[in-house]
This record gives sequence, C-alpha cells and structure tokens, in this order.
Amino acid sequence: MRRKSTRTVFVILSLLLVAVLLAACGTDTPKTTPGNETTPTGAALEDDKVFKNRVTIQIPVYDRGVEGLPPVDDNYWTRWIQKEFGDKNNITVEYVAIPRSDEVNKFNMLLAAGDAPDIIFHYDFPAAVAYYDAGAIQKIDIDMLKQYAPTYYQKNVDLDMLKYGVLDGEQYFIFASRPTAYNWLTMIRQDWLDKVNMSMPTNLDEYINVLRAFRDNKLGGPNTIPAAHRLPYPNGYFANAYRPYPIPEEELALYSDLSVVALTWEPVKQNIKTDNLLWNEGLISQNFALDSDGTKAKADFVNGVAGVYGDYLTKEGIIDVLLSNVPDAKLSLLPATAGVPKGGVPAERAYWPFGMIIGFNSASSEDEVKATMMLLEWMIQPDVLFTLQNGIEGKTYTMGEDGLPVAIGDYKGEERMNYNSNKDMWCLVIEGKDYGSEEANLKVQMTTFAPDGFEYLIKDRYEECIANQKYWYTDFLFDVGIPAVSEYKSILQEKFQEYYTALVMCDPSEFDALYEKYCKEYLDAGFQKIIDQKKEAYERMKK
Amino acid sequence: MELKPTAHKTVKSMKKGFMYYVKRDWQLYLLLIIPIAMVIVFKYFPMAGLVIAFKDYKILKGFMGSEWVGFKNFVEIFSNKDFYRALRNTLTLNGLDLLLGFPMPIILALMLNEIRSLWFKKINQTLLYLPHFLSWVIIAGVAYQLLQPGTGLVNVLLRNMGLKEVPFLTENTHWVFTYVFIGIWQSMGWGTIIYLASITSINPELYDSATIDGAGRWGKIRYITLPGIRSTITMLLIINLGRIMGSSFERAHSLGNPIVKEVSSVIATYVYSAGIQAQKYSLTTAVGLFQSVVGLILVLVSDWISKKIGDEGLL
Repeated sequence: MRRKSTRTVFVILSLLLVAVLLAACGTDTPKTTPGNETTPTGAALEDDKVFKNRVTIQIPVYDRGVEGLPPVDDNYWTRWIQKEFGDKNNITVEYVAIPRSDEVNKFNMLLAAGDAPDIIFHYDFPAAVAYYDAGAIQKIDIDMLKQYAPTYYQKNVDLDMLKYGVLDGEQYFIFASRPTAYNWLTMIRQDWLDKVNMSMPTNLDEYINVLRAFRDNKLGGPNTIPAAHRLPYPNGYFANAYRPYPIPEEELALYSDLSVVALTWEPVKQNIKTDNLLWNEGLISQNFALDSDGTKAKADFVNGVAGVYGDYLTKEGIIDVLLSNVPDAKLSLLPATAGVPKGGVPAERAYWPFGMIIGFNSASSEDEVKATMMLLEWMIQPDVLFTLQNGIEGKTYTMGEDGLPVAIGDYKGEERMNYNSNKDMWCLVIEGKDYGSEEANLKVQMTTFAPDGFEYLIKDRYEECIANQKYWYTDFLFDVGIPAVSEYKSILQEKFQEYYTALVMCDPSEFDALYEKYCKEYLDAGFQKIIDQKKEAYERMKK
Repeated sequence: MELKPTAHKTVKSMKKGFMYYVKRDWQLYLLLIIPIAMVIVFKYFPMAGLVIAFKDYKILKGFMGSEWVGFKNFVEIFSNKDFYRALRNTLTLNGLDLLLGFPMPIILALMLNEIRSLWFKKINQTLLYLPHFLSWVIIAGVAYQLLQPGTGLVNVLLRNMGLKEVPFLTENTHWVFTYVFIGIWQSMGWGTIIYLASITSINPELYDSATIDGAGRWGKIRYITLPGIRSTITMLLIINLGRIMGSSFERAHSLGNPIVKEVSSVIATYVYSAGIQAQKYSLTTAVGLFQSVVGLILVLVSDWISKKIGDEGLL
C-alpha cells in the first residue's frame, strides 16, 4: 500500500512539473491594454472626473541605480502620490522603473511585450520621434487635454511648446517645461593659479599656458594632471566653441545633433586637434580612455591631483570631498572663454524650451489616458509640486526668511526624498525648481547645488550664462523623424569613442592622415546616410 | 544460478518492442520526461525565433508580423567591415585561448595528482577553483587597478624598480596576451576537475605494476596517467573546438577599452552593440545563426577526425 501511494505521489509530482514547465512558456493571451484588465471604457463621470471603476495607470520613472535609496517604484513618495491623488480619484498609480542608462531598450522590450507604461517619454527629441515612427505613440486629443489637464495644457500654450509635438500634422507629444539650471560648470583651482602667479585665462592660448605651468610646477604631486579629462560621452562632443558664428542654418541642421557626433565637421576636427595637443603635452588625463564614466576624473580632482574639472555641481560629493583631502583648496569658475580658440565665441548648446517629451502609449485605453492627464494636472499644481520637490517641512527642508526653502541634505528618515529631490517623478511637469522669478530661482539653486561657502560658483556661472546667452543656439528641429539617426546612432557612437581615443593619442604629425581615414569609415558606417536624410528633410522644410 | 536467466532474458528482450520497455520501466520514462521537456522548451522552442534572421524584425510587429527579407541580413553582415574585425578577433583570441589555455588544466591536474600531502592538495585545489566563481566585471576591475598605466600597482612597482612601464591594457599586442593569461588564470583551476576525476578512474594496479617494472614518476605520468585520460582530453578538445566561434561577452566587454578596440571587439560585443543597442535584432540573429552553424560544423569535423585516428568520438 505504502509503495503504491509513493508511486502515485511521484506520478502526480512529475506531471505537475512538466505542466508547470509548459505553462510557463505557453503563449500569453495577447495583451492589448497594458495595466489593469478591469478598466472599462467610458467609466469616467464627466463632472467630477472621479472614475466609477478603478483605473490603473502605469507611469515610467528613471532608475539611476543610486545606492542607498529606496526603490524608485516603491517608496514614500509613490505611496504619497497614491494616497493624495490616486485614492481620491479611484486611480491606482503604478510606477515602472526604467534604467536611465538603458531606457530605449527597456521601453522597446516593454512595448514588444505589450507591457509598456501609459506614458512613453524621452529627453531627446529624435529619440522620442523614433517611438512615434515605431507606432508606439497615440494621437493626443487636445480637447481631452484641455478638459482633464487645463493647467498643464495652458503651460504648454504659454511657453509655445505644443508646436514641437506636432508630427505629420497631428499632435503626438506634450512637454514638461524647463527653467534654466546653472550648475553645469568647470572649476579651476584658484590656489594653484595663485601659486604660479597667473591670472584667470580668458582664451585658449592663455588657458594652455596655465595648464603648462600647473604641469611644470607639479602642483598636484608627482602625478599632477593639469586638467581632468574623461572619455567624452558617445554622443556629447559638440565643439560649440569651434563652430562658426553666426552658424549657417544648414550646417546647424546637418551637424548639430544630440545623438550622433559630427566627426566629419570641421569644428569637431579642430576641437579634437586641440585635445590631441593637450594630451601629447601631458596637460589632460593621460588615461582618459579608460575613464568612460568620469569616476577617475572626479577622483583625481577631489584628491587634489587635477587642477581643472567640469561637472554638474552637487551639494555633496565634489567640493566637500576635495576640502577634506586638501583643506586649503580654493576654487574659481573657469570662464567659458578659456576654451575658445582665437576668433571664436563662447557658444554653448542651448536647451530647447521644453524638458521631458511626453507621449501616450498607443495601446492605452481612453480612460488610462484621461487618468494619466489627471495625474499631470494634479502634479503641476503649485502646492503639490512644491511638496514633491521639497518634501516635508522640518524634515527635508526648512523655510528660509525670504520664503524660499533650504534643503536639509542629510535627512535619512522615512520621508526622505528620492534621488535629486524626486526629480525623476516631477520631471513629467517641469525640469527644475521654479519659484516664480529668476532671482528666487538663482537663490534656491545657490543653496541647492553648492556647498556652504561656494555659492558664488553658481552665481558666477549664472552671470556668465546671461552674458553669453546671445551666442547660444538650440539644435535644429526637424518636423519629421530622421530614421537613419535611430538606425545608426549606436554604431556611430561606439565608433566615435574609438576614433576619438585614437585621434587624441596619436602623434600630432599623423593626425590629419588618421582623421581622413576615420572620416571615411565614419561616413561609410552610416553618417553619410544621416547627412543625406537630414539634407532632404531640411530642403523639404525650406520649400 | 541467478546470473544465467538474467543473461538469457537480456538477449531475448533485445527483440522486444519499445512499448515493452515503456510498460516495464514506465516510472523511469516518466522521470525522463522532465529533462526532455526542459530541453524541448528551453532549447528547441526558442529556435523558432531564428526566423527573424530572415525577416526585417520590428519589435512592435512581432515575429509573425515582420516582413520576410530573405538573405538580406546575411548580405549586410558579410559586407560589414566591423563584422570581419569581430570575426578575426574572435578566432584569434579563442585560438590563443585554446593553444595556451587548453594544456594548462591537464598540466595542473597532473601536478595536483602527484601531491602526496592531502591537506596541501585540498588547499591548493580550493584556491585554484576560486577565480572561476568571480564575475568578469570584478576580475576586470582588479586587472585595471593592477595593470593600468601610470597608477596601476604593477606599473608603479616596475617604475620604482627602474624598469619601463608595460602597457598591459593599452597596447594591442600586450592587451591580447593580458586577455589570454587572465582567462587562463580564471579557468585553469576549474578545468582540472574533470581531469582529476578521470585520473582517479585509472586502475591503481597499473601504477603498482609500473613501480615493479621500475618506472619513475615521469614514466608513470607518461605511460599510464596520460594515456588513461586520453579519451577525456579528446572529448574536451572537441567541445572546446565547438566553442571557438563563440565568445564570452562579459570577458571581452569588461576587459576591453576604446584604445584596443581594434583587437578587443569580438562577435559577442559586436552583437551587443549592433544588435541590442542599435536594436537590429534581425541582423544579430543572423550573426548568431552563422556562429552556431560554423560551431556545429567544427564539432562534427573534429569528431569525425578523432574517430578516424582511432579515438572515441563524442557523438
């Protein structure tokens, strides 16, 4: 008897195993609507906009892999949003973590699986257009937007942003606004400058001489690096200071691009040539090619080995560490003009007036879109936005005498903010903190980004930006997608890093020949196709 | 008395049909269903996805909805310079791995086998297995800390001894050998396990008789141990030959850097950048298919050769 029962159990178990195995791989029932299957259509009451039946919306949120913080899709603030917004409107707000460094892949996989969130976003316009080209974005009903997100709609109208979201004559994207931030800056060790008795460089030649003096006097010890240098971002080599001014519009259209470096463009060549000179003279990090994420450059600077360093300034992690290593370090803003060759202007890449580019998933139901619009509308309300950006008074910030919040950086309690003051949540409505006036914004930025005693860096940078802004320009905006960009960009980005490294590290006498060779390979690898397609689109627009 | 009927039965049952065995040993066959289902589900079902090598796969259209394009993807690969570079590097690096790396576990196993002190042997074995369990990302991190120019520990040491720095990771030839040697270091300990197991299966009486015949340690290794594990060596060689077209993504990706791209780009990293990052899934499926077909041919050929020269084959 006993034997028989063992046998039966065994048979059942093995059948179960096989069944489970097969079931796990069975074809899913095609899921047309992401999110909740209980979502009925047309359930919204028109008047008070509360849904009769529960609606589930999925909102993407960047996961930047920052250590020591709660998960981006489940933390105090996601629960706060659920409580304050979701529960009151009969909406379940689910957050979907999107790895920042791999966002396009993640979105594509979710789209392929039919699991993509209701919002599909990207910071870069051509990349957003690529989602549209793939059929992942649905048309936006402007009347619906007006009804369910009037404030959000009005902001888009006031800042004249809606026009950018029109593709082939229809509205597909709406935008978060972008107040300017002034924390991207280059710092130079003022104490080093004082030691070599030199004044602040104001053009490229002076700058190179300063670096030479840093090198010759070994101010950072035996391994002195005059200027910290990292491997450029694969897409971020704009050569702004080397561009002609004013720039002919066609050149801007063909070569100014956030995703592919225009290696074959003369300004880029000149910029790399300067880097080649700096490298060969030992004026920038010799191992920059091994530093693809900038950690080495940062380490060199905060350890007092490097004299010049550019980064997004943050309250913690840069200057405070430098001071703990080199207590008497003094810092100044390196003016943008120090990077400008003779005859050039301190041009920089200006942002578009918009921040996050937002489209609605083409598979989302009408109710889901409405609910998502309601979330945007709720989030853009000043009091909600203020809480999301600053947290809880007394815990994450204190109110200053001037009525502006001052962040408490080291609050570790339950209500602590997610990375960068919850930015990845409220980026759906605005790209920075806006307190109504330039002055107020600057004041908050000075305390937000700079450690105590170094607020002047942000202020100097602000003044420089205001003075130079006349030279800045945005990338050209095409009214159609350029398919070749999305097709070839990752290949070209990889090639750019490879070629850039070789060009910077080669003997100056070989530079021109090598550059010619790489340009040809670069064009063959797809850049020619990009130029051709852009040219065609540009000429069609000009007609 | 017991033996005879059993033997008889065996001979007789040879003629019985398949169903007879299924009926008699049905529990065992049931047990077999699990691994077979596993192989079918995880190895054979996904092969249906290979169709996208012949399609213009669009993620939103799916496997079925994408358009057929015939051999267009293959034409595109075989006219791409980067693919040839990756192919060349894959073959060179794997060839060197095989040439320098294949004998190492054998030598190491023979050496371990000669150690008489048991605890010393155990400690050594454990230490040798350890690197196998480290991820390539960690190994590469350590390698860069030790070997990078300027601030790497080894180069600092060399410099302070008055020697010239060695560009282990930043010059093509040096990089290739660094890559190969780190690979050998990582895998040789683990590779000894199979050889050690197969050495223990050698009849100890053979060693005793060899001792009586006056064979020394070398003699025993040469005439007993090595021939004893010969079939294992052949088998592993065949397996390794089948892998010569494959490549470890983690290893090449984490040890590589833009300076040595010319020699560090292998098929796996090419597939990653051209396929996953650029989302040309069709193109890289075609590469994968090509890789597998060549691998299969290599295994079949080496199996055929080994049977020709009188060894046991794998198939």
